[in-house]
This record gives sequence, C-alpha cells and structure tokens, in this order.
Amino acid sequence: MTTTPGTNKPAELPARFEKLDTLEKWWMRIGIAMLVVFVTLVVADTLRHDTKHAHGATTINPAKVTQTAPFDKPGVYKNEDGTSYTAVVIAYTFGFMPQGDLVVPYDTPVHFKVTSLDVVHGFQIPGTSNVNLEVLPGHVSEMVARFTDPGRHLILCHEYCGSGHHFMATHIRVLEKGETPEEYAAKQEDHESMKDAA
Amino acid sequence: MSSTIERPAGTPLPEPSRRERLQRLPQRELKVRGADGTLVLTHMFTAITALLVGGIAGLLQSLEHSGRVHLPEFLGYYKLLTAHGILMAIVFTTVFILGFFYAGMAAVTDGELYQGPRTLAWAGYWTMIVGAVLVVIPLLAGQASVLYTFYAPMQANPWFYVGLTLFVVGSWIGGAAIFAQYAQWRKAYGATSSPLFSFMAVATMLVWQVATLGVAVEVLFQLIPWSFGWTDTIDVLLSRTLFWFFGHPLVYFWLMPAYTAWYLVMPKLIGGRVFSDNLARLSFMLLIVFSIPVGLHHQFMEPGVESGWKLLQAGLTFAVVIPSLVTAFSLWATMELAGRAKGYGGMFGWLRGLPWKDARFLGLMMGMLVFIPGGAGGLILASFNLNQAVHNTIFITGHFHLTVATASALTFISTMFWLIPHIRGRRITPRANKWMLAQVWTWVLGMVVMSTSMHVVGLMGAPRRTKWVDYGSSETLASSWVPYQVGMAIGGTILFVSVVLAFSIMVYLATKAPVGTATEPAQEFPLADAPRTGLEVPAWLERWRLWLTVLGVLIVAAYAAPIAQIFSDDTDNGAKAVQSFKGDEGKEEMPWVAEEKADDSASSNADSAAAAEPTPTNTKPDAATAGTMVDVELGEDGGKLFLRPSVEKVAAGTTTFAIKNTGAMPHEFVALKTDTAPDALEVTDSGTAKEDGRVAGTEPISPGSDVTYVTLDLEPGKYVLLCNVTGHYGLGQYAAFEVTG
Repeated sequence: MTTTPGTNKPAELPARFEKLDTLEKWWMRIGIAMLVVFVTLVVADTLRHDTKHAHGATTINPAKVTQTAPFDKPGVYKNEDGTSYTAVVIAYTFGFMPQGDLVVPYDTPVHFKVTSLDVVHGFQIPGTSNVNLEVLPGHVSEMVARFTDPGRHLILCHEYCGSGHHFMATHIRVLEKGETPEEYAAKQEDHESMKDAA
Repeated sequence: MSSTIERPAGTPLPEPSRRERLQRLPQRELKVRGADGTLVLTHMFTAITALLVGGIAGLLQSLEHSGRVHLPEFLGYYKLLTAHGILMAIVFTTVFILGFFYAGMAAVTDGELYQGPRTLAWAGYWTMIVGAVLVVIPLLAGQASVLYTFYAPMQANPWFYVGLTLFVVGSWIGGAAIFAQYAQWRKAYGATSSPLFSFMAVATMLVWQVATLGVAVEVLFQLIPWSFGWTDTIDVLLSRTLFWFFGHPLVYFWLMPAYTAWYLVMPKLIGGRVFSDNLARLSFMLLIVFSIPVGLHHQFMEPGVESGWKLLQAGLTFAVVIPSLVTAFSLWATMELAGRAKGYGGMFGWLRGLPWKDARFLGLMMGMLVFIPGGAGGLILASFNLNQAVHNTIFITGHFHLTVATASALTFISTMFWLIPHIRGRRITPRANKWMLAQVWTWVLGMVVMSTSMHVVGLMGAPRRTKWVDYGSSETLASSWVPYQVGMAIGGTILFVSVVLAFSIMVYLATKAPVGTATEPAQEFPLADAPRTGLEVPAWLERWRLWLTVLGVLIVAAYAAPIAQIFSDDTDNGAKAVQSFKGDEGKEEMPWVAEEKADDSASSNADSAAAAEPTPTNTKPDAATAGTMVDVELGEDGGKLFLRPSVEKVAAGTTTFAIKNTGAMPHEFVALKTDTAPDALEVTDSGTAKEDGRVAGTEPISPGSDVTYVTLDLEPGKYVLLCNVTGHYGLGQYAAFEVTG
C-alpha cells in the first residue's frame, strides 16, 4: 500500500486530481441547490393548492357511517355556493356506494369526501385525474378535483383490501361542457319512461 | 492464528502505549475462519434459500399478473404476494446483512468474533428462524394474506404477528452481537475510532434498532393484543404511522450494507482505494440522522395528518440527497483514479480500466448504476404533489425493484459470490466467473424489462398489489395496461432464471469449486479497509451519542405533533373503535352488501312485477318436487367472474337450481327469460344489467354458505343466468341457458 501513514489519501496524487477537492465542493453545491429548489417547489405548490392534495381532518365513527351525514346519502350534490359539487362516497369490501356512476359536470370543482366501512381502501381515478386517496375507517379523506375529459372513466380501489380487492371498482361520468348532473338525471328518467311506454 | 496481532489482556494499558500499539498494528491478511465461517455460511445459505423460495413466489405472481396464466386456487395471488414480500424484503435481506457484517467485523477487528458476540449471533439466528417458521405456517394456511405491510384492521392469524416479533427480536440480538464486538474491540485497543467496516456495520444496525422500535410498538401494543381478542378495536392511523416510522428507514437498512460493499469492497476489486475515509463516515452519520423522521412520505395520500407535517418530512427525505451525492462522488472518484492509474486516459476512457469481466465487480457496478434512476424515482415519490400521480400505482413497485431488488440485492448476491468460497477456502474458476457474469446480466436485463414496464404502466394508472383484472371487457383504460403486464411477466421470468443461477453458483462455490493452493490461492476477503489505527479520524465522527441525540431531536420534531394529534382526534365519536376484519383468503363476511341488495331487489321486484317469483331456500327439496336438478357454481377465476350451470339445456317443466358460491366474495343468482344474447344485456348506470324478463333470483350469497335452492316451472325458450351484484355482469358472470319444449 502506498498510502501516506495516517491518512487514506494516495501518497502521490497525479497532478490533475488535485482539482478533485474543488470538483467535490461544486458537486456538493449543486446537491444543496437541488435540495433547495425541490423543497421550495413542493412547499410553494402545496401552499397554493392545498385542497387539491389529499387531506382530511374529520373523523367519523366507523360503526355508524351510514347514519352519519353526509354519508347517510352517498352521491354527488351541488354545494350551497351554487358552482361547485361534493361527491360523497363510501368504500367497503369490495365496492363503492353510491351504486352506479358518479356523475359530475365538466371543469367544475368536485370536492370528494370518502370514508370506509371496514378495512383500508383506496380511491383512485386514473387516466383522467390525479385523484388518489387512501381511505381509512374512522377518517374522512378529502380532495378537490376538476374533470375536463368528458366520458365514463374508471374509479378503482388501489389499496389491497382482501381476496376480492381486484374487483373493487366503479365509474365516474364526466358530462359534456354545459350539461349539469341535474339535467343528465332528468334525461335519464325520460329515457327510462319512454322505454317503459314502448 | 495467522495474524500477529495480540489482543491486550487484563488491565488497560496507559494511554501512550495504546497509541503506539495501534500505530504498530501490522498489515495482516483479512480472513473469516473456523467458527465464524460456520456462522456466516449458515446465514448466507439461509438468505439464498429465502431468495429462491421468494423468487418462485415472485415468478408465479408475475405470470398470474399478466392475465395469461391462471394459477390453481390454493396458490392465492395475495398469498404469493405476501410470501414474496416477506421472504425477499425481510428474510433474505436481514439474514444476509447480519451474516455479511459478522464476517467483516471478524475480519477487521481481531480476526475473529469474540466469544460473547458469537454466542449472541447464534442466539439471534435461531430466534429469527423460529420467527420465520411462525410467520410461514399461517401464511401457507391462507390465514395471513395481509401483505408485508399488514395494515390493520385487516387481521391475520395472531401467530403471524408473534412470528414477526420473534424475527425482529432475533435481528436485535444480532445487532447486539455487532455492537458488543465493536465495543470490546474499541475498549481493548482504547481507540476513539474503528475500522471503517465496523463503523458502517454499527451505523447500519443503529438505524435498524431505532427504526424497528416503531413497528415493535405497533405489533406488541396494538396488533398482538387485538388479534388474540384481548382488545376489541384498533387505531388504524396510529398503526400505519408506527409502521412507516419503521418502513422507510428499512430502506436505508437495505441500502447501507450495499454502500458498505461499494465503499470498501469495490476499491479492492478494481485495485483502487477508499477515496476518503472521513467522507464515508460523514455520509453514514447523515444517513442515520435523515433515515428515520421521514416515514410520513408514505402517508401523503391519507387523512388525519396535517399537510404541514407531511411537508416537513418530505423536506427531511430530500436531505438524503447530501449523503447520497457524497457517496456517488467518492465512488466515481475511486473508480476514475483506479482507471487512470492503469494508464487509461480521456474523459471517459478510464472506464476501460475497470474489471468489467470480473463478476464480483460487475454486480456491484450494476447495482450502483441502477441506483441512479432508482434514487431519482425516490425524489419523485418524496415530492408531496408528484406522489399524488403515482401513489399506490405499480410505479412504486417498479421503483423499489430498482433500489432494494437491484442496487441492494444484486450487490448482496455479488458479495456472496466471493464470501462463500472465501470461507470454504475455495477459488472462483474462470468458468464459474462466466456463470456469475451471466447471473448479473440476466438480473439486469430482467429488471430493466420488468421495472420499465412497471414504471410506464404505473404512470398510466395501473394499481400495485392488485391481481390481474380487466375491470370488465368494456374498460379501455385497463386493457391498455395489458401489454405492460405481459412485459412484467417476461422480465419476472428472466429474473427467476437469474435467481436459479445465483443459487446454483453458490452451491457450486461452497461444495465443488477447487480448493485454493499456494499457486492458485483461495478467494481472498477483498476489503480496501485494512486494519488500521483509526487515530486520524476526528473523534466527533464516531461519537454515537452525539449523532443519536441529533436523530432523537429530529424524530421528536417530525413526529411528536402528528402522533399527539392522532391521540387527541375525536375520541368521543368512536373514530378509534375500528373493528377487525379477517385477512383470510376467501372468508370475507360482508353483511352490508346483503342489506344493500335486499332493498334493491325488493324495489326491482316491484318494478318488474314478477309476482310469482319462487322463494330461495337452503333446504334441499325432495326428489318428487325438485324436478330436474341443475347445479350452478358462482365464483372467481383468474381475474374473471363466472357463473357455471352444470347443463346448458333442460326440458320444460319443474327445475331446481342448486346454487353454490365457491368464490371469495358475495354473488347472487338471477334468471331472465329473454331472447337477448347473454353478453348483450343492457347495462344501467348503476353497473347492473337490466333484469327484463326476470323469473327468479336470490339475494347475494356469502362465500362458503350453504347451497341455495330455487325451484320453478320453466317454459320453453331462451334464458340468461347471471350474477347481478354491481359490476359482476360486466366482469363476465353470466351464462346462456335453454329450455326445450
């Protein structure tokens, strides 16, 4: 070994590697700059759009979910402000309530409130949104999202919840621009009664 | 003993003499021998067996997940997934890491483990084995398919948790062995510092001891009392938070031994040297400090924790950028210096000076290279806002197959390739080296194919930990995932070949490889960290109490408030009172599903005015009234649901359907008299088929319940039999049926 006693540095360092210390200092500066940039971006974005992220400070008695408002009536409702909507969803092994599609208007804030009747579930709307929630019994998971891709999209449970986990799914129907869920529901009813008459 | 070191016995020597003694320590050959060899070999073969069995589970699971292969019922997908996770991520890694550290500690301290630490090491080993056996039994019995995160309130057989506890306790005893060896050596030599290897082993085991405190509290105070029925309910959020207090530092526990091999073994293999001893120590200390108060970044998407605390822990997670970059710089500097020393110049020309054909090096090198995208993926996941796009998708699985399953696992395998013949006094023949190279390359190839598929399809929304399913044939998003799922199976198959190669090579190296001779020496213990004084290392770098205090302060800062909040959260509304749900395969009870449907079918009955619908019963009708018997089986098979009548055609007249649910979830039976083709029924927005022409039906039947009988008079014509639980018709649970005149 040709180490200088007492150090771990090579005894004779080729001249060009004397620059190594300088290089290393720059390398560390880049690293720290990266850290600062990433943390700033994450914090700034979160503070700006807090409700767009998964959150939820409300707790709920998991044994009385279906008797506790708003979970006594799962579904999509217009909020009092008249412009935004709330989607109330209950997850259970292995499905979601309300039964059937969640119908939401085009490019309108939809405030999701999701809880579980039993084990931990997931609530994910892939492909068309970043809606992604862990659903814990005893807690209400919340998030606000807008949808700009009209059509019927998959909602799935992405947290393993038992042997039928992979069958746990439902759909969200995003309406065309200008259409409201109320109009859509009325139209569906007309459609039904016309068919029944026929 | 071939070493000339004499361990000072009896009373400690006065200070100057100690220093002199340390400075006179001769360069000696590093060796693991005798009793230590047996200890280390036992660990290595236990680890590689776990790798092989875990690899079989991984292969089967990846085939099933392609949707192209259906496994027999007893090999439940989630059972395989649990086994794969526990055997690979917990057993293989922990047992290898301890064995590797014992070997290195023996070599760099006094040439052997002292009596006390060696006894502790064996005690730890057997405790871990008993624990692993206790985990495996309920797992095989299908009573612990809770995955290796075992999230409450899904409940496993209590012995599963007892087994996990014993395994962790065993690893603590192992850690104690390493601390004892270190402390005795330092005391004997009166050194303020120690050989770099022992420093790294102690640092890694400290991370492990502190991190496992979280999961220990979860298992001992929450899961075990609850699963034995001593307590009725469980706080779900608290259990998850305690789990992830452990779950992320676990990652560093996998990584730090790999760093140890990269820092110390790699330089020796390439004829280089450790770039900077102090820098290596500093980066390990930073890893200790930043490894633990970061677990909340696994809980970004869940309620009950304020965003501010999630952000704080996101920031602390990013801080590992510093030790990681220090490490990257040191390792590349070591390699560049070695390459240039061999006379290769140019910007990248020095890379040619590295021993690419030496499998022991190639495995480490590939581990390091793969860690670059792996680490970048980690930064993406630690970003609160980006995490939202991929949380719980299979992107995550792709990420940790680059980090733990390649950066760490491939490094561990390459380490075993020299450690096993070293202990056995054998040498690696050029032919064996070729097979080892093949092992490394197949691993890299398989992982590139599998992990890339996972990353891409994860971005497309495919969930992780989900058995293959098309979510109904009309679902276009899920069907776009299929090619990538096939890609994962191809990658998984290549990886399995690599696992079998690794296992076979190790058996060969232990038993058949030629014994070393004077001209062709046995495999050495390649460590660039020769026994050295350690006197030049600043003492503050090795003041464990100082660094543990910093860690403690950070843990309190990052966790005290969120955990206090969990405890204070609305205890009055019963939010803590979460009941248990068995994690058994195929035994879920879902009473509310039945209630839900009961209301539903009542109203639909009224609508369709099927006044004279027969009443289902669990009593078998006698032969006189039953008429023709038709057995109907309801269940699931490989991502599809089915409804199978024993015959497709009966003569008109009295018919009894004997309906049995053999699946894992509730199903119902509905008979429609209709000329519509069975796959062409109109589907409502509520995910059920229109029940036009309904003649009979049942409420949802729980899995495993008694046979349900429905007897009715059938008129000639075409019928469709189906399960109309929401979504099940769309998943293929229907059959055509005909009644002839």
